[in-house]
Formats: sequence, C-alpha cells, structure tokens
Amino acid sequence: MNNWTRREWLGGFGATALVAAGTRTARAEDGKVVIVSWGGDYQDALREAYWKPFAAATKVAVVEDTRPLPPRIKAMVETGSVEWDVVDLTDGQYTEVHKLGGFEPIDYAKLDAEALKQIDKRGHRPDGVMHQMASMGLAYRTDVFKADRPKSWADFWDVKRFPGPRALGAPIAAGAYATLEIALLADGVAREALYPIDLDRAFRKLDQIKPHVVKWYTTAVQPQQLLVDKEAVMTAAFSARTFILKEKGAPVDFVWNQAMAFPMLLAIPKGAKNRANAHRLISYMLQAENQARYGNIYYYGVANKRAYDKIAAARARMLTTFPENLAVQFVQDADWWGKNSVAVNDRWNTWVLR
Amino acid sequence: MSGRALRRWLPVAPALVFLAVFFVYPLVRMLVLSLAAAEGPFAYYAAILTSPVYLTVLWLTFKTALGVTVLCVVLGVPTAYLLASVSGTWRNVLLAAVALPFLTSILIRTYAWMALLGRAGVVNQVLQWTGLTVGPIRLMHNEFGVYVGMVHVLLPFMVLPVYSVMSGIDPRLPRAAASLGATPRRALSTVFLPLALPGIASGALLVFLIAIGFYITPALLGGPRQVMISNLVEVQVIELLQWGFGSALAFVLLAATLVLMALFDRFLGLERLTV
Repeated sequence: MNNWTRREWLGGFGATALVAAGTRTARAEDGKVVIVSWGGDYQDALREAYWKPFAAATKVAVVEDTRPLPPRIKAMVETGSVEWDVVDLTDGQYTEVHKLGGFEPIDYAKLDAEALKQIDKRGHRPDGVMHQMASMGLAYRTDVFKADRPKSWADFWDVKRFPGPRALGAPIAAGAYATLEIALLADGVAREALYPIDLDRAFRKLDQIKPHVVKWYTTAVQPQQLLVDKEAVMTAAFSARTFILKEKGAPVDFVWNQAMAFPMLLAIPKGAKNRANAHRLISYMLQAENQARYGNIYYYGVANKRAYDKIAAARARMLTTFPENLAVQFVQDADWWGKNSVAVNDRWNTWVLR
Repeated sequence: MSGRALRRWLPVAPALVFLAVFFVYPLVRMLVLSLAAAEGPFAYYAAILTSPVYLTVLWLTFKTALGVTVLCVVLGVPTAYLLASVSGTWRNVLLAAVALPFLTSILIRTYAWMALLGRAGVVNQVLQWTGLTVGPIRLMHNEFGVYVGMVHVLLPFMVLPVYSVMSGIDPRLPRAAASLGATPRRALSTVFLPLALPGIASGALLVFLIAIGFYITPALLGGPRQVMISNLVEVQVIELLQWGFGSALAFVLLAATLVLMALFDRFLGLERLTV
C-alpha cells in the first residue's frame, strides 16, 4: 500500500487515530491548557500553526489529547472528572453536547475583538465558537470521468451518463454525511429550502440510487478510501481529505457546487480546570495571522476572513470558506439535526435493511 | 465462614473483587440506565421488541454468528486434528500459524482483507489476470466479506480448544477400536470424535459468543444488510448519546444470549466443556 493511503487510514477525523496522547509542547510555567482534537496530520497542523507558537508566546503549556467524542465529554462532565479544557468538534457533535448543557459559557470579552468581527456571527454560540469550516461534497475519480465530469448531485444520480458504483454515508453522526440533503438537492430542492428536511421525499429519492450504492459508510475515513481503492467512482467525501489525496497524486477531484459546509467549533467542557487559559488559547486560534499560518499548512476553511490576505491563492481555492466556494454551498442546520437525529436514525435503519 | 472455606475462597478474592468493580457494577449501572426512560421503566424495551428493525437486526446478528460458528467448526476441527496428529517441529510451526493472528489487531486484519477482496484488490486482479473472470467480482461489502473477515479472526478460538482436547485423547483408544475390526473411518467417528466433542462444543460456544458482539468487521467488510446489534448500540451510545436506549439494546442481546446458553446447557451440558 502507498504511504498516503496508510496515512489516510491513521489520519482522519473520527478515525481510530492512535496518536500520542498528552504530548507537551512547552513546560508549565504559567499553568497549562489541555486541548483535544482528532489526531493524525490534522492535529499536526493545529500544533504547528497554533499550539507551538502559543506556548512559546505565553509560556502556557499546551497538553494534547485526541478524540473528543461527545460520549467521552458527557461521561467526564457527569462524573465530575473533566480532564479537558478545549475540545474541537463538528457542529453536529457540538449540538449533541450542547443539548445536555455540557459546556461552559464562552466569555466573549476575553476573546480578541478584532478577530471576532471577521468571523461569521452564526459561529458565535453562547458556549462555543467557530474556528473553521469543513465540507462534505461530491468527489469522483478523474481517470474514470475525464471529459464529461459530474458537477452536481443530479449528475450523481445519473447512472447512465456517469456509470459506476457509488458510495454515500449513513446519515448518523448527526447528519455529518449529508446524505438526506444530498438526495433533496438531486431531486431539485433549492439550497435555501432544504430545512426542515422532507424525509419522505429524501428517502424516495434515495430509493432510486440505492441499487448503485456499493457502500453506506459509517466512519469519516471511509469515503476517501473507497474512492482511492476504486470501490466507488463517485462518493460524498470531505473536501480537505480529498484535496490532500489530490495533491499527493491520486486521480480524484472535489465539486464545490452543492457541497455541505459545516462549522467546527471550539468549546470548553463544563467544569474544565483551566478556563482562563482555554479562553487565551481560543482567542489565539481565532486571530487572522495565526489562522493564515494554519490555512497555509492544512486544508480546512479558516473562519477569520482576514486570514485570506495571507493564504496562497492556490491553497485558498481548496478551502471551504473561500468566498467563491462558500457561495455555491449550503450550510448544515445542526439545530434541525439536533432535534431530529434520533428519529432519522430509526427511519434510516428501517430503510437500509429493506 | 469456616477456616477451610476461607482458604478455598481467599485466592479467588482478587478476581471476584475485580469482576465486581469492573463488570458487575457497570452492568448494574447499565441496567438502571436502561430502565430510566421518561415514558416508564420498560419503555425502551417495549420500543425495541415492537420495532421490526431491532428484531430483524437481532435475527441477522444470530444468523451471522451461527454461520461463522459453523464455518469455524468445518475449518477448525480438521486443522486441530492435523495439529494433534503431527509432532515436533511441524506441530510448533502449525501452532504458531494458528496463534499468529492473535498478535495483530482486528482492525489491521480487516483492512488487510479490504486490500485483498476489493474491486481492485489482489484476488480480483489474479482472477482477471488468469482469465477466470472478465471484470471484478463483488467479494466484499456483502455477506461473503463479513464471513471471511470474521472466520479469519475467530478460527483460533475454535482450533485451540479442540486441539487441546484432541491431544489429550489416549491414542491407544482408536488403535483398540482398529484392533477390534473398526475401519479408520469408523474408529474416527465412533471413538475419536465423540471424545473430542466437548472441545468442539466449547470452541463453537466461544466463537459464537464472541461473534455476536462483532461490529468493526461487519461495518468495514459488510454491505447494507450486514448490520449487527453492536453497530446499532454504537450509534446510540457514540453518536446519539442515547445511553439508556443503547443499554436496553445491549441487555436484549444479553438476554437472548443467556437463553441460547440455557438451551445449550440443556442439550449438551455446559459442565462437560473443557478448554
């Protein structure tokens, strides 16, 4: 197997990343802060762009851990043994914990006011703040579709013009895989009219594509892997992971049109021990200069608009929040998912077993 | 407690305390959670037992586990017989080959199968290169892939207990049968195999019990219908934070398993098992 495929397995987001937990990047001279993200090359980028320079500038030791899954946060909060100060979550994960009241309020007076002005107001939650956006969109093999390339979810459903096996996600993980939204878009629903999701219509549309879907994946590393292994010629996949593969030479590309953008938020678990340092680190991670450094290393869409002044043009076009990209996407309604995920899961299980 | 009883129980005390703290207590906590539905203590259970989804998946779980167990018996018993009938270097080499998979994580082994069974995988390439098939055939993301992956993981749990029983069988017994005029086949079927049966039964039980809890292998190698109860429990606990409902699902699986164990005990006798 190639190096990049192996990295991909160990890499991502919700995967079984077995990355060094508790790595220190500075000594505890001015206290510490424990931050938890998803391991792999993603966490490497966060460390280089934010945590190392933060520790050097503030003398606050940054202690890392991985996989801040909502059930782990819930268990820590409920047992009163909170070991984490800052967690990095998708909007869906954030919403599940938010519903339970599992976060400390964010004290916006302690965050960089200039940075906050540059961040979309929808990312200013009472108990969480957006630091980047990610996308789930159509990814396909460029060696299969050379001249006529898929450009929309309607094309994904067009198995005559674009033949070959497909993959889509089971819409668990609070809808992170966008499958129902994708079905509605393929059925002609406008991006602005997706929510509240018309479940009957979405499942009717999914009936049509079901025979062509080789895998309804359930983990975040699967879609890109299915594409690289030629199990599917087309899938819904994460933008960042797809562009990383593309840059390493894999024959894949990503379609921004009709992709789902979703915020990723930083939040402080209720009862966290180093709340002051947590605010300092969050503030640092929102500043334009630091976000630009991150944007030049990694592939997620920085939240601070001013960061684009210093991000290389070629890279900027691969990022979710680049204005031209954001203009053709829709933003996931995590609130709707928070209210409906249990019911959707039941309906999904019934449908998929049929 | 008398001194004698104390002496007998004291050495087991650490194990009992460990079980109480790390097994019984969490289990009781889960039971409490599963009975804490807002709509009444048995609301989760009622929802599970009246929903076609959960009963279907429960059935699929037991069906898959049973299929895997049968395959492990078919493949494992002759392997164990071979192991028990060779000696010296060969036995060591074969034993190492059986035990080797234990050293690799299930996840890694499952990914290895994906590299082998995929559309562009090794097996399909060989099949097309030799002209046996024209295009790639579906070897995973279906029932076949799940069986291959699960049997591979579980086969040592079958082979080792059977081997341990077979190697304890007095070799003079089949020979005595032969001297009384039994054909080798007859000696095997009426003398050797019945003596090996406790090992086969305990191996099968072990494989079955581990198989019903599988979820990584079916999730990665299976298709849409290869869903195990554990996959549903995982979604409830990890994604939806419905710990009560997830616990109730786990208890339904536990109860169904206990019923099966009781039936097994009734017809085969658990006390006869030796590992």
